[in-house]
Amino acid sequence: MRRLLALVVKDLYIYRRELVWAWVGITGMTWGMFQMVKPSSPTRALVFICSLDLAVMVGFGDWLAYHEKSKGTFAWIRTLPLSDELVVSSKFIANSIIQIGAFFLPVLLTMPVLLRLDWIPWTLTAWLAVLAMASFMLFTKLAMSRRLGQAVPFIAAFSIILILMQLAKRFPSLLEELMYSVWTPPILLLLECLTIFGIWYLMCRWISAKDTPQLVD
Amino acid sequence: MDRAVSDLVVRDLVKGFPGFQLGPIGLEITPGTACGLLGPNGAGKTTLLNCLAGQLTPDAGEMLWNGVRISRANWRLRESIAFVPEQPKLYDGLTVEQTLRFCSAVFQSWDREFVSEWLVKFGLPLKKRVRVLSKGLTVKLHLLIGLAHSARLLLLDEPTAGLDPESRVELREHIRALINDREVCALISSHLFQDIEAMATDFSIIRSGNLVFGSSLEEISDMRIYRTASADLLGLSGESRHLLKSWTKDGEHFLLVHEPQPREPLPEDDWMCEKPDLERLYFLTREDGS
Repeated sequence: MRRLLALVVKDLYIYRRELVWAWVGITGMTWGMFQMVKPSSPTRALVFICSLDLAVMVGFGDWLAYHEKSKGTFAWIRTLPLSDELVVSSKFIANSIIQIGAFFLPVLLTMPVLLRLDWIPWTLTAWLAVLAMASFMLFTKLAMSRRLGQAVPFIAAFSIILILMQLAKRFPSLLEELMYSVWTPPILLLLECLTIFGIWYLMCRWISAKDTPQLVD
Repeated sequence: MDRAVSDLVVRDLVKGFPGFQLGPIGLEITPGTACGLLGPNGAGKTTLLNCLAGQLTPDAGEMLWNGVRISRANWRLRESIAFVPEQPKLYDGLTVEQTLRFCSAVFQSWDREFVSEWLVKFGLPLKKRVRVLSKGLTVKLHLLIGLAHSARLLLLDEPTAGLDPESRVELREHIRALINDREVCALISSHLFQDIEAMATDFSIIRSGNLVFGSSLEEISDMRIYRTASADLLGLSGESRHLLKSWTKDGEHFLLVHEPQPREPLPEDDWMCEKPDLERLYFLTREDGS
């Protein structure tokens, strides 16, 4: 546990400035945008926040995973008494802390205050969906080549934004129903948990199978 | 610690890459012994060290440390192994102090007194970021981290490369002192004969992925190279002489002999004798084409 904590704190400390800028930036941009265009429903507001959050995911995926490859620090980490599972878990935890902040700070600071919307995404589904997406971004940055690692997250992020916009436009009631319901369908929760665990497992297997020079550029 | 089980043992180690294969290699290092690894670029020195540090998974063979197999899965073993690569890559955004604090949380046994003592000896500035440290200070920091967790096996990949002469002399004195004081095993690769002579007790020469020659440095003074028209003339069957290597070049026979006692006289026209040094031995392994 002490080792895990040291790894997480190390990542958050190294990127503390970027982290503060990301949190302040995403909240400020959401605030500014909502001042100009007041979304009529929480669904539309959430689509906007999710779009910004996906950009943060791509950026921090780069910092947490790709920088370790490009700067060669993975080579040093692998000389320390740390299991591959522990290293991957620490990345997942650091990434989750960053994304939870990037997703919920703007939601909490804008929706109830600025838009007088009574909805806050307390459902576990919303949290897990953000974490699953952030985990996927991390994996692509670590496992793929630089070009592919840049392209795939953007394509994925763009696709999700398009889907969310279409859902908000065509089926607003369905999306809102899902958002407003505190009790999420268990199958959906299970699927999200399995997705996150699956990505974690794949990442552990992938790293363990690689020689260190294959993990650094 | 039981001497019998704290050795580093390498048996038939093989690691292949496209166009290059390391091994099969066998090696044994006992506590208090430092083996200098000499060889040209691309000979396999770094590959061997990377295998021992768990950075590369060998294709075949085994590496045992304290009787336990070295592998990526045995990550706890790295508590007792210190690996200093040629180009250390630490987190450049952290200060020396933060790097040491991070390491103290990662390693179970962390000797704070040792760190305080050697921080001063190495002249490491606590508050400076790693990115502004010179190559010499970065190597020293890496070395300090390796030794502060009471590592019993030191793997140093060209630790003095890129250092100015003063830092090089200072660093190798420190390394030698640490090896003596702590009775650790060390494997040190270098291109510099002076480094090996100053830090190591033994040496091994690696060429094209194979260990072609190895001995203790002390034994070099008992070695002779004979150049003869006929190898039979030397009569090497006596107990006081031991043939280490023989080769033929341009029609002449060369014999590398371990000869602690003065040899019996032979007709001088038939042979020539010279006392080799480490540099001569290194180039001999090239000359004989092995």
